[in-house]
Amino acid sequence: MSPRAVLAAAWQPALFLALAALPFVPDRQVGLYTQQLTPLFILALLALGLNVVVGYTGLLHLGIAAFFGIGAYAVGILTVQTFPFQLAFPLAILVGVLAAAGLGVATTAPTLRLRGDYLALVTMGFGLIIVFVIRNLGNITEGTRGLNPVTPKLLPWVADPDLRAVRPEGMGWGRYWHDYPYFYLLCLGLLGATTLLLRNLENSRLGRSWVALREDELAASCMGLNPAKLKLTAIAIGAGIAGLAGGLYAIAQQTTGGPEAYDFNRSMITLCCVILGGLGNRPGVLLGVFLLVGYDMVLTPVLDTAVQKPDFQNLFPEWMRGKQYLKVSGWRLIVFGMALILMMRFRPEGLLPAARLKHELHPGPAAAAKG
Amino acid sequence: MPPLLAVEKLEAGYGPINVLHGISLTVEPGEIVAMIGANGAGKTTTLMCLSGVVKARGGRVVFDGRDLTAEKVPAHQVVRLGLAQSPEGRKIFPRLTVLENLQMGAFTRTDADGVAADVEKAFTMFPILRERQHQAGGLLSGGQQQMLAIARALMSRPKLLLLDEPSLGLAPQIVVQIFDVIRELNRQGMSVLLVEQNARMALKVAHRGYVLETGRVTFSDRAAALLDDPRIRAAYLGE
Repeated sequence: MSPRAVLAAAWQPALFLALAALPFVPDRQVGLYTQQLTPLFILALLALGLNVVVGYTGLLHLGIAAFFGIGAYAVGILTVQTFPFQLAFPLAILVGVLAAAGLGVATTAPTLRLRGDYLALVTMGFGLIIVFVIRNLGNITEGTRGLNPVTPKLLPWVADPDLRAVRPEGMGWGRYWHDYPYFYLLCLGLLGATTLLLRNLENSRLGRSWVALREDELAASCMGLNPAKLKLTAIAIGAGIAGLAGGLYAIAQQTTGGPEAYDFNRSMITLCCVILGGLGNRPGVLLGVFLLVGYDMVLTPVLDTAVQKPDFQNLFPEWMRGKQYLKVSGWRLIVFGMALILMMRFRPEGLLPAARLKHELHPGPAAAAKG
Repeated sequence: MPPLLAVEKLEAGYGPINVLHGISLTVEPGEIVAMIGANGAGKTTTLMCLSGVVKARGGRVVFDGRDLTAEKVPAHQVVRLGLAQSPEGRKIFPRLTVLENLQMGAFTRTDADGVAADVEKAFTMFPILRERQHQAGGLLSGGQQQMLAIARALMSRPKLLLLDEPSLGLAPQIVVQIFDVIRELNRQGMSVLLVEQNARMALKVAHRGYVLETGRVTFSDRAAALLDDPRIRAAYLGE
């Protein structure tokens, strides 16, 4: 194999192993940074779920955050002390996944005949409705305060082990399974498993049928494909993965947070990640999440601290100091917008496009030579 | 022997508009039947009705002994019964490779060996497709795409092939090639229902023909007889 081919085949497993090894670096400072990657993995799962619906099947869904929220609140309701369920982690997360998938099918079935912009509008409406439901169903969801603490047991019938006995000292490792680094490794593992699952799905009969449906629905039904069934499978799988991400998110935060964590912004940013990285291409989607969410959640706070130092603020006149526009976070949506506009202009297929798209948008000598 | 396809008084339309006002036609096994007519006569709608993509509002479609309208056979099941369509405008999957396009045509089949053998047959019939099998379908020329569309429809091993405007937008020389392919397929035993604007070519290759006008069959006869009919010659053959 050429070095290029080796690199192409090996970079994903290598990155996965490197991330899995990070918590074992015997340095507390490294641990503090590594810890911040957990939500990145969770949002990567969410983006992969959206990618099944938008990337593979071509249904522009603008309400993926709703399924994220359903997963989070299902796990919340099934585990907090105020409700009589208090299920263990695997059961609660399973219910969360099934609830999100079921709701995905239930809300998509009536809209199967809509296409393009019309479908996008309906899904956007659905996403908005869910936020209001969560906010106003105070008896169940605690409204804007959110459910907490979400600290399920790892296994049913067995008390959670106290991991202080086995952890190495001085590395900032936590006490319970939902602390760093155990939960970090769990999320990374689930992300890896989902990636593998999706890779196999892409190359399966089902995966190719999705692509055919996206390319041309009429031709697909002339080939004997059932568009309704295919769309519902795609939304069930996509929403299910989003539900999984939601459940993990609630456990990572130990609270469902308020409904604003599952609003339209979340859907849009996830969609931006998918488009920025490369619609329909798994590694591209992961890269998109890493760049956008990484910028949003990791880089912005660091820069914000930096620019709030008096040395920097004193460069500006008195009346400007401490205002939103002198913070990096104040510019975040503008940065997102600019990134998308620049992408659409210069690289519409995304940073790491799927091979099929690259062929179509830049049919260069490579494509001609192949024939 | 009963006809392979019998359409009786078929009615269909879109929204408040009725397009077909009682179309009747038959296709015998081993026959090429041409349906000709102007824009908006209802040719494509008839084919879409046969494939189940457009729902019939009245009348019957009996295919190979099964009443498709009474049984309400959905579009994706029609292919399994042996009725394959190569739709108007070719409708290639542009981002799937040529090979994947062919495999998609065999979606209803589960015999991997048989499918591989049929892909091989398609490549023998259309050598250009073998050369370009790993290219995206959208990068083929119009004529090659039409060949791919026909080959793709054949992948389900249909009993009856529905061809909608195979000459659409193709150079005259390519059109001749496409019609040679249709004749050759028929010689191998394939029954074909052909919809065409290019009436002369269609009637030359067909055994029988139907002329559609605003949703009704106005003439039907042996193709050679239609070619000689002064009214047809005046209206559709430009003489």
